[in-house]
Amino acid sequence: MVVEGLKKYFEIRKSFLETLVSRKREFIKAVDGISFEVGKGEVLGLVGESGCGKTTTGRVILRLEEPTEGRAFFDDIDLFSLNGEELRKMRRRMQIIFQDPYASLNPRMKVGEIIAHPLKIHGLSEGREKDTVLEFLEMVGLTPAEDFYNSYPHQLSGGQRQRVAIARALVLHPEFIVADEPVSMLDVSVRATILDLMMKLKEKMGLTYLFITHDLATAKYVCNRVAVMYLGKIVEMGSIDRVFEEPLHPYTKALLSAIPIPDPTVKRERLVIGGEVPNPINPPPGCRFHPRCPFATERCKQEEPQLVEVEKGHKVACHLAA
Amino acid sequence: MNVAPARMILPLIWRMVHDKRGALGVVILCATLALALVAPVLPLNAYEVRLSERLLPPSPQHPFGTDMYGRDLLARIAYGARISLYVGVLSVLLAVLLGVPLGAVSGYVGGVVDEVLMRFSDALFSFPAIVIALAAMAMLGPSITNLVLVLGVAYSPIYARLFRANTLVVKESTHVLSARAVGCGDLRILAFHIAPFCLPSVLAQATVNVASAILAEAGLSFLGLGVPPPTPSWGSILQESRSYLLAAPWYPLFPGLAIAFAILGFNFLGEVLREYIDPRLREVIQTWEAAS
Repeated sequence: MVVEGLKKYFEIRKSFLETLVSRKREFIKAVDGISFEVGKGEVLGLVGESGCGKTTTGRVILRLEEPTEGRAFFDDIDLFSLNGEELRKMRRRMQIIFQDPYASLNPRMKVGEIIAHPLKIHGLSEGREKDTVLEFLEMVGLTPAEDFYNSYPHQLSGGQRQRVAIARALVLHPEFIVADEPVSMLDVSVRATILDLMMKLKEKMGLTYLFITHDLATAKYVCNRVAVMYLGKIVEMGSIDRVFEEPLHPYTKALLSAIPIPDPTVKRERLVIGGEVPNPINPPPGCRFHPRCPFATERCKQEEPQLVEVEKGHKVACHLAA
Repeated sequence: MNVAPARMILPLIWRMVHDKRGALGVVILCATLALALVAPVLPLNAYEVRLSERLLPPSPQHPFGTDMYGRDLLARIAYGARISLYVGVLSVLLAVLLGVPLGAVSGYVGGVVDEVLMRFSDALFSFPAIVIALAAMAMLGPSITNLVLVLGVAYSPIYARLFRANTLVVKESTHVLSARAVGCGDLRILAFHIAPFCLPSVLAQATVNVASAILAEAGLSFLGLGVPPPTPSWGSILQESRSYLLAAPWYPLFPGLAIAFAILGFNFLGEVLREYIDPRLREVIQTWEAAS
């Protein structure tokens, strides 16, 4: 998966009167020019706080939202030029697991129907859909599969629902999965088991994950590489070990210092950033992080830093670090 | 892909029986239906002119009395129930069949299509349905079929707007997005992932709407634009009784009561349905009752 210069702007709907008064159209710059790659079999973490554009990125790649600008390739196929039947075929190869397992399953359908639905749409395993569904229910640990086959989503717990969502995503044998905060709505007690399941299935089915999360601890648990997003831009990207050991961007440093350490005797310097995320309609000039950055200089206010490679595979967009 | 029937219907029946209005609504409607069904087998004279028996007061032979041509009023009201239910239910059914697809397309597709369809329905909506019906019936001439057609078209914007509004909400939900992610086509999404969530409120609206359709039929028949004579309709019986208000007060009383009860029944039923379907409203009512 290669993404180049991806942008997604949402136009702000104005009332009729407002459009009469001013012709200026305003946009929320949810994703503002990001590029990254996910190698086959890799897990790339897309990390950032809410509203930074990580969910939008995932949805645009899967064409659930239309991109404003940029390109994305999967297996050298230009994803943004696909239409109709081509797009439908492509959907078999790329799937998504949503954040909220309470909302992502149709409450009027039985679990069996939910998982069989993609098969029917694509005309796969005709006549033996039920066997396939049961097989996948077992694979995601919902046993006895026959019982779960006939239950409704509202009869299941959050963790079980997320397992159903995983089964639905995998039943088409996709190659690429966007996991959009798959455990953030779940009880802490079941998070690890769901993550373990996802990793086990990744090995078994040869999956590639784009793993969207705001939780760095989760990212460290599952990802090979991580891209940190702030206000629609990637500010730092690199292997999970390097980024965690030696974060270069002040924003990454602040995020990392917010992870609680389970050992109370370990002392750590905390880097706390003040203020709020600025408005994505008019992002600050220069470096987008400068109003909140404790190290900001005059240059940061004027010149926007580019994402540059400072060591092999480790990129950062900061004047001070580069 | 069946909608969970037991999960929706069993609590609904429970509610209907335990809610006084619901129970009353069911009783009234069953009574009206029974009256309509037994109309042809009643040993009473509904059509034959017998001037010797005209304007008789209620008695064991004629429980509701007789009309200006000596026809039994109970029999005529029973036949009128058939007309009322027929026109009421069929016209609303037509309105639903016309309005729901338009609303679905409007809400789902959006953009220019939505704009055009909704302005069109606004235009229809800006006149009271009865005024449209009045004008159209005057042009087409009185007949039961015309009545159903005209009322059906006049009521259709209600369902177009209702379904559109529901579609707009449901189409943003994550389960619709996840259906799209697995490659579900637009028609399938509408049929399986949107419509099941929008139809219950249509059902509630339709029940209340049958009451207004019955009233509209009675009104138009009263004005001579509805059901042509000699077919008895509650509205036309009322119209005939106009000249005998003082001489035979029971004459307008019974058709009037029939109209009132039938409307009450459908309204009660619709109200209970709506509260059952709209949990927010249920909460509002509970808080209001707790406070008062």
